[in-house]
Order: sequence, then structure tokens, then C-alpha cells
Amino acid sequence: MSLQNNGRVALLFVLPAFLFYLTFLIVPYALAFGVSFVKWRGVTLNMEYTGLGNFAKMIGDPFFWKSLYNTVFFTVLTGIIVPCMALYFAVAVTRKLVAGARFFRITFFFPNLISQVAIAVLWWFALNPEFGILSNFLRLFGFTDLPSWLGEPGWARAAIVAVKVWAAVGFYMVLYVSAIEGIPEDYYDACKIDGAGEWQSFRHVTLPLLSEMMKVTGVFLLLNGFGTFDVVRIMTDGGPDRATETLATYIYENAFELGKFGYATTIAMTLFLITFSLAMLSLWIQRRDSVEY
Amino acid sequence: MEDENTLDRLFSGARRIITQCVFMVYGVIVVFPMIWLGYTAFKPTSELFASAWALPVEWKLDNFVEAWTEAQIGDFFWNSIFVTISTLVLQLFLGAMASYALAKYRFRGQNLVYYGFLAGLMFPIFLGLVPLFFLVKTLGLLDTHLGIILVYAAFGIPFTVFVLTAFFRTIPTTIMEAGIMDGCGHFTLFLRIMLPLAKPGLTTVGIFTFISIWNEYILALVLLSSSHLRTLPLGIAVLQFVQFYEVDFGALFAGLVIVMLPTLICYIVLQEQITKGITVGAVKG
Amino acid sequence: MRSKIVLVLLLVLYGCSFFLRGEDPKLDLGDNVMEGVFFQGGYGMQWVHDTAAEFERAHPEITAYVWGNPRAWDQTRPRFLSGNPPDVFWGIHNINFWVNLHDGLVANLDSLMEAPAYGQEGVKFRDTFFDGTLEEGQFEGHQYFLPITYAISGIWYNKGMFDEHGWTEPETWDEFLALCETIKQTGGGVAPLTHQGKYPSYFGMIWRGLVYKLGGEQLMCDMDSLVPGAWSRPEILEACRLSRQLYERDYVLPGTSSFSHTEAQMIWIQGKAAMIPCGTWLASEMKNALPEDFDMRLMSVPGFRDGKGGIGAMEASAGPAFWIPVEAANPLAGMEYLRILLSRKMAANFLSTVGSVQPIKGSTEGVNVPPATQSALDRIAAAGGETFAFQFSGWYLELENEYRNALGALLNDDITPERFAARMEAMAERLRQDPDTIRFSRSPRGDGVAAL
Repeated sequence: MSLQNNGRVALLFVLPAFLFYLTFLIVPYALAFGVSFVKWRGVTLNMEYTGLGNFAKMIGDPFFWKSLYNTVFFTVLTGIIVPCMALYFAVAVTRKLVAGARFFRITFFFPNLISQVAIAVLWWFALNPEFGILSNFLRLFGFTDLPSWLGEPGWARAAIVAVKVWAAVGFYMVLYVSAIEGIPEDYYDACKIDGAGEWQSFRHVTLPLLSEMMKVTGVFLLLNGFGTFDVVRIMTDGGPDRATETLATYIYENAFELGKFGYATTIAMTLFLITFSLAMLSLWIQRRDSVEY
Repeated sequence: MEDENTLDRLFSGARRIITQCVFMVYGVIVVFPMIWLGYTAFKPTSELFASAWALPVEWKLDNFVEAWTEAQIGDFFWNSIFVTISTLVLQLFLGAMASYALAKYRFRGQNLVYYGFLAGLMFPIFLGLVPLFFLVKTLGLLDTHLGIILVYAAFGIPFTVFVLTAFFRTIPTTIMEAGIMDGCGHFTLFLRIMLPLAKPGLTTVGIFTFISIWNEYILALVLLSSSHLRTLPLGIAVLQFVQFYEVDFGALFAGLVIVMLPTLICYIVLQEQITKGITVGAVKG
Repeated sequence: MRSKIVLVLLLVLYGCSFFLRGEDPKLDLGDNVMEGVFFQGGYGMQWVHDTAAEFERAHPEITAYVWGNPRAWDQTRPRFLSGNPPDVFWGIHNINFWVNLHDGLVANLDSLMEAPAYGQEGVKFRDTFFDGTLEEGQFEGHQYFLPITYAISGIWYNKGMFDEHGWTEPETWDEFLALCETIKQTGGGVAPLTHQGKYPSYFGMIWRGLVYKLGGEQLMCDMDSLVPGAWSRPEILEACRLSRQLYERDYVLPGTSSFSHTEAQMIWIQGKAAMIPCGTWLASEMKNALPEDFDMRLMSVPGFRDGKGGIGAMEASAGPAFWIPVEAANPLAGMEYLRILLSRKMAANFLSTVGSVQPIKGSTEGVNVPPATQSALDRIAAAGGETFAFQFSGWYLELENEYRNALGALLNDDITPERFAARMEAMAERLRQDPDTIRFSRSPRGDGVAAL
């Protein structure tokens, strides 16, 4: 015990990393916090203190609310679809319900190796109504009156969700696979002896033992959803008519296109506070629950 | 129960077929766009527009040559290697030390430090860009590889701590005690015993760090302005923006392939290690 | 085992990277350097280097160091912040010229305008520009920005295709609709029109043409000046209805709303659509994709016999581009570079290498003007020199953003013309109320730009 209570040694271990972190993350972000209370165009050092002016402006800004709504929309949809698909794949792969499991395990992870920018460029081209893979594929089956996928609000939103799902599923599948592989085989054997089928063993063994992992991935998905940027920026640029605008793209527009760094920082700060409190909340709930186990 | 079981058996055959189909379809959806990107990179732009599906009429390396020479991808490739691996070593070492202490020691403010690190996962990068720029400038590290390596390492620490702390927690404390019995100092204990035990965790973090640094764009854009220092994503970005004004998808696609290959190869070779590492990292997170 | 191999491999690569990393070219530029940073896009960089060579011939004691990047502004913004900008600058992405001016980043060019023109006896630099092309770069009567090109916009068509079918350029909107109908009926599957739907501001060339031709200069100036009610006048509603007509009658290629500019232009080149709105940069932008014998011509946006604007008037603008940063180390050398860049000699060089016209008098003489560009110049001549240029896009970026979004929604049939007008009016009102927005106004006599 005395070994682990050696605070001074622990401090020496933590300190280098923490100093790094403090210098290059905390300090800049603390400065950014100050920027959310000023009017600043980001090209000179002229700043003008506005107090809560930026926040008041944000509350009266319809585009802010629209982007917030869209961000929540994307986060919730991917937050439901990704774990479901990933779980289905993971169970099938680990419980040997599919031939070539190893191959699928490797390939499904591929999208996670490419940058979001590359993914967005790839799909933006693939969804082109004229040259793209999808339209040409559907034409093979005689579909003619195809929508212009990224040009219509409904389809564009669906496309963003689909690409985000495509980019994420593999990662979560691998997480679930490793979690399931961590479950002792005895549990399943016991289930089998009870005469339970695949569905029951999933419901009574896999799912309960995966709940920890589900919560962790929930936090990941939350962070990922609220940060949606590259894919939207490249595929639709927030359009048509702001139908796919997210908080991140709206922040970018304000800061780098309209030269409103102060205002953009205010929105960014709000975004950070939302994500941070949601993530902390879920981590806290998770902690509380695990104590109750 | 009885009914459910009969149903189970009845449907299990059909279910297998359906599952197999779903996997195959999704496999195509995942792999085909990448294969398509791969062979499209060999086509001249006009061919690409003429028929998106078709294989190239001639397999020519023109696009790759153009990307490699005109866009200076050669220099950028080595710059990326240098920056990525340097960052990797620094970040893993610092992160592992901190995680070890957070997992295995008890000290005041431990939770604060831990959650403080985790908060870093939630910072949107471009929020802090401009202050960060001034900071790096004040330190005299602007437009140097050292500067961007330090910044990358700092930005990677939260994730490292998140995964490795969980990992170290799974290593039994008795091992530590045995080490101390053998007369190890705290640092030797960490370096000789704990670090090797954490190898799967380190591999996981290492791979993810490699992927993210290899693909990082915004920080590099702001912190590196001399063209001889730039990393691959900056080179790709130039290709990508140029095609905005001068239709040249061929070179862009070739550039994308050059960027994608190293991470793909690394992954395919190391994939078992990675999956192993991920387990321990995330389950206990 | 495998991981050992990878580890060794990475170590070897890492070792190599120490030697193969990009090396500082250590350009020995000397002490007296003029640095120019330029947007690198469809015009390429040759003209920048040609001018640098000319500059060094004229001033052997100064080294002209010029370079470009597609994101020149993003890349150099930090240098502006730290007080170390280049001596002459042109960036287009994410840049707001007027905000920069307002923040005191931009040097006054009045003295440069009074200087003698480069390579011409007894002519002031100011007087070498096409009439009316300097105003867009002025604020309160002072010159801050200089134009790079004289961009003429309208509707492009493939002359070969038109000749083959016997189609002719329409003059009025009714003739245009009739032509579209003919193309639809007899074109063998060719759609009459496509446009760069992902960026609705391109269709804006048609919409703005309609507005100008219906409402004339007065309406244009009122819209630019944010006069209350200007954005909901009957002419605006009419222009919206006419734009919608093209969709209602199925004259627009399906899928258009998601095309980026290059995709739409590619589709037009491939002959899947007969016409497309764009500016004179179209040929150089698409040069890698244009077939050898492709003969493209520009037509005016069709007008109205009883309209307030000339029936053949052309949208032509010489928007702000080049400027000299106030904190430049060598601003006079930067100005000298601009004086040479916008000389008759270099403008002629620009025209022959890039194919676009710079607004410098006499620069088209003795140069082989590409037929596409020539057709645009001819249209202006045919209109008796009547040109127009809306300013709101540059003056009020938020209005421009809302305009693009609302126009896209209108074309997509998501909103009505009335709703379009109401949205634009609301945004104009928001800007009128916003104390941070820099206000501009203009009036029809070509008085140009003045602050309120």
C-alpha cells in the first residue's frame, strides 16, 4: 500500500505530460475562453470587449439554432445506427455465424485508416448523380428518375449520416469484438446446456456483459457526432440551404469566412460546454452504475 | 422457451444465409470505393468523367509522377515520417508515464488530473488555433518540425492517458510489489517491468496516433509555412484545392492513394496486435 | 514477429527521414527582397513568375521572390497576425477584403495610381485601366485594391452544337424559352441548361442578369446599398418566377442541384446540356478537359424589350484582388511589382498565357485573343458598352451567403419567390441593424463606392 501512496513519485511521473498538456492545450484554450467575450476579426490584435454580447447574439441567431438542431440530428442518428450495426457484425464474427469472419474483421476497419477528408472526397465523387458509383449502379437496375443525392435537403442529410456511419462502424465493431472475446466461453457453454439458442445467449450473456463497453462507445460517438466537420464541409458545404449545417461548419464559416473570430469562439465555447457536460454526465452515470454492480 | 427454441432452429439456416449476404454486401460497400479509388488513380481525368466504372484504358503512372514531382510529395512523405514517428515516441513515453502513475499510485488531485486530461478529448481543434499559434511563436518554435512535434504530442496525450490508464489498471499490483522487492527503483520498475507489460496498449495507441498524425491537416497548415517543412496532408490539400480551379482529379486521386497506403499496410500487418490492444484499452475505460 | 519487422521497418524509415526530409532551399535572396504571395488556381503561376522576371530586369538590385498556394490567405494569415506579411498579396479563399481594410491591414495606393504607367510615355497608371474598373477597389474615394482580370459573365454555349442543329442566340427571355423548348424537343436528349448547383451563386449570374434587365441600374444600386424594400420589389419577384420557369418546364438537367462547378462544366462540355452560366475564366478552368476543337461562345443573359436595363447588357466586373499589406517590409517594391504586373506589356502576356483579359487599355492589341474571350468582348461591344456589376457579394458576405442559400432553395422549389424576397429583406434588415457591419452605398451615375 505504501508503494502506491507514494505521491511524490507519482507526481514526477505525471508532471512532464501534464506540463506539456498545460502549455499546448490548456493555455491556448483558456485564452480562447477570453476571446468569446470580445469582438475580434482575427487578423490584427484589435479586440473590443463586449461582455455577454456574443452570447446574446448567438441566442437570437436562427442559423445557430438550425446548426445545433442538425448537429443533434446527426449525433442521435449515428449514435443509434452505428452501435446497432457494429454489434450485429461483432456478434456474427465472434460467434462464428458467418464464413470468412477474419477477412471481414480486417476489411470493415479500413475506413478508419483514411482521413475524414479523403473519405469525404471519395464519397462526394461516388454520390455524383451523373458520374458517381451509386447512380450508375442503380441505373443498371432500370432506375431512371434518380435524385441528385447531395442537392436535396432530405437526401443530403441522409447521405451525411450514411457516410459517417460508413466511416465509423468498423472501429466500433472491433471494439465490440474484443469485448465479446473477453467473455469467458463457459458462460456460453452454460447457456447452451440450458438449451438456449443464439438469440438467448446474446440477450442473456453478450448484451449484459457488453454494457460497460456500450457506455464508453456512447461517449466516443457523442464526441464524434458533435464534432462533425470535414465530411459536411467537403460533401455539401452545409447546404443545400443550411440543411446539413453543423455547429462546427457554422463556427468555421463565422471565423474564417466572415472574420468574426470572437463570435465564432463563443459558439465553439458553447459547443465545447455542451459536449463536455454530456460526456461527463455519461461517464458519471457509468461510474455510479459500476459501483452498484 | 420451448417455442423460442424451435423457432431458433427453424430460422437458424435462413439467418445464416441472410447474415452472410449482409456481410458480403457491406464488404463490397466498404472495399469497392477504395478499390475504385485505387484504379481510378491510374486514369487521366477525361477518362474518369467519360465512364466512372471502367478500368483504365492504359495503366499509366502519369498521375503518380505528377503528384510525386509537381506537388513535392517526395519531400512531404519523408517529412511526414519524421514528424509522425518523433511524435509517436514522445507522446507514448510521456503518456505512458502519466497513465502508469494515474493507474497505480494514489495521490491528491488524482481525479482532477485524470478528468483534466480527458477534457482534452473534447476540445474542438480550431477553437484554440490562433492562441496556439501565438504561443508557439513566443516559444520560437514556429515553422519548425520540433514545434509541431511538441504540439502533436501534447494534443495526443489525452487519448493516450485515456487508453493506457485503463490498461495499467488491469496489471496486477502484485507485480509491482515483486519488482520493488527485487530492489527496483520506481523508474526502473516502470521502464523494465510495466512498460513491456503494456505493449498491447502501446501498440493500439501507437497505431491510432500514427493514423491521426499521418492525416492531420489544420495544425500543420497553421504551424508550418515553409514549403520544405510541409507534411503529406498539406501536399494533398494543394492537389485538392487546385482541382477546384483546374480540373485534375487524376493527380488528386493518386495523392490520396499515396497517403492511404502506409496506414493500410501497417494495419494489415499489425491487425491482430491492434485488436488485442483495443480490448484492454477500451473495455476498462 | 510481425510487429518486430514493422518496428524495424519504421526505425529504418525514421533513420532515412533524417536525411531525406525536405531541405531548406536556403534561397540566397540577398538583402533587398520583394516578396509576393498569390492565389494559385486556374490562372496557374506562370504570369506571376514572368512578372517577377520583368521586375528583376527593371530593378536588378531587388530580388523578386514570388510564390503561390491555393489557400494563400489561410497560409499567410498567421504572418499578418505577427506583423510579418509579404509585400504584395492576392488571396481569394475565406478572405474579406473590406474587413481587412477596416482593420487597417491594407495600404493606400493613391500614390501608385498617380505614378507613370510602366513602359508607356506620359500616361498615369490610373488612366491605363478600362473605364469604371477601378471603382470596385476604392473606399471613400481612395484606391486600396487593384483588379486582376476583367471577368465577363453570361451564358455559354457550344457553337458546334448550336450550328449543327441550327440553333441561334436568343435576345429576349421569350426567345430564350423558345430555344430551350426546341432543344428539349429536338436536341436528342440534350438538356437545354445545367448550372453549378452546389454553388447557387453561379445561377445567380442568370438571376442577376434578369434583375438588372428588369429593374435597371437604380434597382441594382438600391439592392447593393441595402435600401429598405429594395430586395422585395416586383422585379425581384419576377426574376425569381422566371428562374423557376426553367425548372417548371424541365429545361434544367436532372441532378443539377448537386453539381459542383467543375462537375457541371464537365457535363456541359460533354454535351449533356446545351448551355451553362459562367464567367470568362471558364476556358482556363477547364483547359485540361476541353477537347481541341471545342468552340465555346458567350451570350448575354436574355433581356426584355421594355426592361429598364439594356437588353444585351453584360455583367462584367474587375473585382478587388491585389493589395499591399500596411506592415509589409518593402511596400514600395510591392507597389512597383503591381505597376509592372498591370502594365500593358504584362497584361498582354497574361492574355496570351492565361487567356483572360486584364482591364488594361490596349492589352488586347496584337495578341491572339482566344475566340471564347473574344466572343465575350464582342458581346460588350454589341451592347454599346453597357455593363453592370452587383457589389453586395463583396460588401456583405452574410447577405451573399443568404442569397446563395435562398436562391438554391428557390430553384429547388423549397421556397416561393415571395419567401425568397422576405428572407433577403430580413437579412438586409439584420445588417442595417448590426453596428459591426461596414455600410456601403452607391448611386446610378457611376459615382462608385462611398461609405455611409
